[in-house]
Amino acid sequence: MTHINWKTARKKNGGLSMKERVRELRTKNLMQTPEICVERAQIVTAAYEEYKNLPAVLLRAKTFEKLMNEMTIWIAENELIVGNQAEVAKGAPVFPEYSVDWVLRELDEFEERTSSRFRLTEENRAVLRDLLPAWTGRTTKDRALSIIPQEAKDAMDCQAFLLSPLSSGLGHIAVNYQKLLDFGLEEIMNEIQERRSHCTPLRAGDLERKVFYDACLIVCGAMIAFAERFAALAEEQAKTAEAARQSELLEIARVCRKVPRRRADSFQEALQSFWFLHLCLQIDSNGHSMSPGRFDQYTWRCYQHDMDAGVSPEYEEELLGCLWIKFSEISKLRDYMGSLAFGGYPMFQNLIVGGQDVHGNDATNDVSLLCCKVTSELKLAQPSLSVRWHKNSPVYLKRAAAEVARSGIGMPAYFNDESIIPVLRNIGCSLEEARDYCEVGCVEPHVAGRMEGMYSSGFTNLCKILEVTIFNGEDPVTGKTIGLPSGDRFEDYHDFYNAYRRQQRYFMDLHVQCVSAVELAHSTLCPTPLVSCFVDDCIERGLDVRCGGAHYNYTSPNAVGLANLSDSLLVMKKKIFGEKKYTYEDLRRMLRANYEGYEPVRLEFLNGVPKYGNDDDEADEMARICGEDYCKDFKRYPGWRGSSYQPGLQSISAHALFVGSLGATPDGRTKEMLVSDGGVSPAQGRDVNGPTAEMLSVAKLNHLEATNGALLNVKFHPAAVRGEMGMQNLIALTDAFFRLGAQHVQYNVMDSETLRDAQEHPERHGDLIVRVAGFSVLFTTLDVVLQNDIIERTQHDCC
Amino acid sequence: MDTKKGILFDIQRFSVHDGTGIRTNVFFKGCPLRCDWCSNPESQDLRPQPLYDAKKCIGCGGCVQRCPSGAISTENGYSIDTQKCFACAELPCAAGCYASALTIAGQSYTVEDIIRIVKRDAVFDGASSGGVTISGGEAMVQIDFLEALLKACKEQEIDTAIETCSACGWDSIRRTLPYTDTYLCDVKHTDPEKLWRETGGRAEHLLENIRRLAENGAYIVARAPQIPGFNTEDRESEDIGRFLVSCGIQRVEVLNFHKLGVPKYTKCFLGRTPKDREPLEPEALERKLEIFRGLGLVAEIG
Repeated sequence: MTHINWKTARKKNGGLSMKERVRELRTKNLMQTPEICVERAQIVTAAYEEYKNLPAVLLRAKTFEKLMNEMTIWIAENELIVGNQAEVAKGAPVFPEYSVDWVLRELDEFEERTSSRFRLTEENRAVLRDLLPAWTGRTTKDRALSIIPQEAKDAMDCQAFLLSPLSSGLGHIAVNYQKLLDFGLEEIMNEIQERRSHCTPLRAGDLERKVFYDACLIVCGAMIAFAERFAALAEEQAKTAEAARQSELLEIARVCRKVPRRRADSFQEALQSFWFLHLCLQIDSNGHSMSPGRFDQYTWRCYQHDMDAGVSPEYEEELLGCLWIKFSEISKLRDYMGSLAFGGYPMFQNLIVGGQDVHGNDATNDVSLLCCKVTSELKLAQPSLSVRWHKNSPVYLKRAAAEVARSGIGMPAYFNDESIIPVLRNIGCSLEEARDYCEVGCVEPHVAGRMEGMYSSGFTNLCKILEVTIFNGEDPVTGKTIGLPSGDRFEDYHDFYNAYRRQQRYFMDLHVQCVSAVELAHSTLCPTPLVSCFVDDCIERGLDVRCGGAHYNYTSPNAVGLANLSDSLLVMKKKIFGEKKYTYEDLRRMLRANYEGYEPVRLEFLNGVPKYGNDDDEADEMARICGEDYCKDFKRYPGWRGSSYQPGLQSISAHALFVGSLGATPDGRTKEMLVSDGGVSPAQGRDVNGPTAEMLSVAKLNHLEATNGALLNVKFHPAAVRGEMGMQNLIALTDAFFRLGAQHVQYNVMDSETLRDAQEHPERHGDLIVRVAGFSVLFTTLDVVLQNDIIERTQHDCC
Repeated sequence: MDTKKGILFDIQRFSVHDGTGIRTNVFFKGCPLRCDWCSNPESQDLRPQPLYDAKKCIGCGGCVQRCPSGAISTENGYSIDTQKCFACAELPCAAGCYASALTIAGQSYTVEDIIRIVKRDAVFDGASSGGVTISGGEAMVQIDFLEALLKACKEQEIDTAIETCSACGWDSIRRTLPYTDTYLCDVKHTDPEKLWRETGGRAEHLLENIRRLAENGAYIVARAPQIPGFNTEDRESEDIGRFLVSCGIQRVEVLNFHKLGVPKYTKCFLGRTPKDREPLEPEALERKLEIFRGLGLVAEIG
C-alpha cells in the first residue's frame, strides 16, 4: 500500500512530525485575513455570456464546469487534503448570479465595517465595479423582489421578519456523502445515464428530465476533471520537492486520480473524496450551512480499512487535522446586515458524531472519538462539531464531548435522539430514517440525502409583532403602518392575545409569500444539479432539488425573541389587564418614551413579574403557549415545492440585528437592549436561579412542536465545570435535561473577564472562540453588539 | 421561636462545590461565632435584616415611606437604623423595591417549602448523586428545625450534607447523626486560645465535636479555610493536618480566602469592616496541599 510506504519514508527522511504539521497549518490559517476573491465572478460572467442560450439547469452545469476547469488551484505547503475555494485560503468568492446590489453599494466598506471585515485590493475593487452592474436585474434577488408584494417589503423594512436567503445561494443541506464514498462518481453517472436512456419523446416532461440528466452528467464529469487537475499539480510540485514531501505529493496525486471518480477505500481517500464534494457544493452555490452530517458513520468503513492495513491511529488523526484546517478555509461574503445577523464569518458546517444506527443501537466508533479529540485540540471554529446523545450513549463519548465543551470553544452542540427522532417521525420520516438523522447548520434536524428543508426561510421578529399589535398596526419606531389595525381597546388579556395572534398570522401571510418568491426565483434561475445528484429522489424523478425533487420537502422559518415576547405578555396580563395598575394608554406612553421618566415602573415590569427561565410555572407556561402557537400558526401554510412548513425556535444571531429597529417592550426591556439569544434561551441576565432552573424552564416548552429545532445557550464559568466532578456534573446536567425531553443544548465555558479583556486587547486573543448560537466563531471578529451580548448572558458560577 | 419554620438567608440551586454532584444549598441564618473574616456577615444574626445595595438604588424613596418604624433615612446618605428596624414580618420596605436595591436577608420557610424547592432539581440530583447541602451561618443554631428538615429529606431519599463549624453542644450534633450523609467540618485552628480570641468559639466544641463525630462513624470531609494572618503558617496547617489524622479523617479541602463578602458589611450597616487580607497565591495553596498530603490525607482545593 503506497500510503504506508511513504509514511515510513518520511520518517527516515526526517519530515515533519504529525503534530507540527497540523499546528503550522493552523497557525497560518489563523493569521490569514479573509479576502474578497473576484476570479469566480469573472469566470461566471464569461460563462453566462457563452452559454446564454441554454436552459437554466444546463447553464448552471456548464458554468460549474467552466469553474472547475478554469479556476486557480493550489496545494499549500505540507497539506495532505487538497482543494481550494478561492485564489487564497479564506478567500470569499463573489456570486453575481444571486445578487449584486449590496456588493456594489458596500464596495468601499468591506474593509472598514464593524463585523466580519474582508480585504479587497484596489485592483479587485475595480474588477467588481466593472463586472457587476451588468448583472443588475438578472439575479435571483431581483427576480424574487419583482414578485414580493409591497406590504411585505414594508414589513421587512421595519424588520417584522428577516428574509435571510434573499442575497445568496440557499445552502443548508446535508447531502448523501455516503453514496459518493461508497460508489464514486462513475457509478453515479452510470445510474444517471441509465435513467436518461429511459426518457422517450413520447412522454410529457421527459425532455425536461433529459436536460436535467445532461446537467447532472456535466457536473459529475467536471468534478472528476477538477480532481485530476489537483493530481497533475501534485505531480508537478513533486518534481522539485524534498524527498519527504515528494512522497506525500505523489500519494495526493494517486488519491486525486482515484477519488471522487471511484469508491474510496483508505481513510485519506475518504476524506479527500468527501472534501471535493463538500467544497464543490460551496463553489457552486454559495450557501452556508452545507453540513457534513454523520461523518463518523460514512468514513468508518475506510478507517477500518486502514486499521486492518496497519496504519496508525495517529496518522489518521493527522489527516483529520488537515481536513479540519480545510473546513476553516471556506469563507462567505455577506452584506453588512448579513454580517451582523451571522457574526464572525461562520459557515455552519455541522458535523455530527455518535447516536443510534438505523436499528436503534449505539453507533459510536473510533472516528467519533477522533473527531472530538481533533476538535478540542485544534480549537478552530469550523467544522461545527455536534454530538448525538441517547440513553445508551457510551460514557467515553460523553466524556470526550465534555472535554471538548470544557476546552471553551462552545462545542459540541448536544442533540437528544430521544426527542429528535420523534420530531422527525412527526413530520413523516420512517423510523429508520429518523434514527439516521443529522443536523444542518445550527440545530435543524435533517435526514442526509433525503430532504430539502429550506432551512434558510428567514426569521420572525416576535417582539416587533407584539409592538405593532400594541400600537394598532403602527410601527412606533418608523411611524409607518405595517400591520393590521388590531384595536385600541381590549376587554381582557385574552382579547389582547387574540389580537396578537391575528397580527402574527398576518405577518406570516407576508413572510410565506416572500419565501415562495425566493424559491421560485431560485428554481427558475439557479437550479442546483450538483446538489440534486446527492439527494434522493432527484435522479429517480429527473427533477432538480430546487424544484421539489427531494423525497421530503419542508420549509423552515424561525422565531426570534420568544423569551421577551412571553415575558412581555405576562407583564401585560398581570399589570395592565389583571391588577389594572396601569392603563393600556399608560403602557403605550411609557413604551414610546422608551421608559424615560418611568424607571420605577420599568423596574417593576422587569423585576416584579416572574420571568421565563427560572422554573416558575406561570412564566414558563406563557413561553410554552407562545412557542407552540407560533409553530402551529406557521404549520397551516403549504410551501413551495409541495413542502410543509416546519418552524423552529432558534434565533442564530439574528437577535443582534433587531436592535435599533425595535422599541421598548413591556417586559422592561429598553430599546437599547437585545432580545433573547439562542431561541429558547431566557432573556439575557433574567435566569437567576441557576442552570438547573433554566433547563427545567426550557424543557417545559413543547419541543415536539418546534420541528425545525429549539436552541439553548448555557454559559458557565470554567470553575463550575472544573475537575473530575465538574465533568461528571456537566454530563449529569446534559443527561437530565435530555431526559426531560429537550432537543438541544450547547455550553459556553468562558469567564467574562477573559471576554472583556479580549474586547480591550483583541491582539492578545486572536484565537479565542465563543459560541454565538448554534455556531462558534472567533470572538474578536464579532461586532461589539454581539460581543456584549455574549458577555451579558447569564453566567452560571459555582456556588 | 417557631420551630415549624426556619430562617434562611438564601437557597441556591446548582451548587457544585459543597458535596458531591449537583446540589441545592440551603443557607441557615444565625451563627454563634463572630469571625472577623466572615464572608457572609448577614448570616450571623438570627433575625432577618435589611441589605442595601447603593449601586442598584434609583433613589425613589419608596422604602422610606413603606417602613412602619421609620428606620430608613436618606438624609446624609442612605442609612438604616438597625436598632429601630423590627424586621417586621411583611417586610414592606423590600417587597416594593423593584430595583432590588433593598433586600431582606432572612426569610421564613417551612420544611415543606424547602423540600418542594429541592425536589424541583431531583431530576438533576439523581443523575449526579447530588442532594441538599445545609449551610450557613451555623445550622445547629436552629437545631429543632434542622432536625425536622433533615428527617424529611431522608424520608424523600434526598442525600444530605451539613456544612458546620460545630460550635454547639454535642447534643445538637447527635440529633443530626441519623439523617446526615456527609459532614463538611470547618477546622479553622487547633490552638484553643487563638480560636477563642479570633472566633469566639470554644475548642471543646470546635475540635472535640469533630472528634466525637468521627468516633460515631460519621462521614466527614474536613475543610481548612485559609485566613491570612490567622492560620496560614505551615506549622498551623501541620497541626490541623495532624488533628485530622488523629481523628481518623481522610479527606480535607483547602479553601482559599476570598474578599467577595467585604461589600456586604456596608450593605447590612454593621458599622465594621473586616481586616484587609489578600487571598493566597496558587503556589502557597499548593504548599498547603503538600503538607496535608505529606500526612497521608487526601487533599484537594475546594
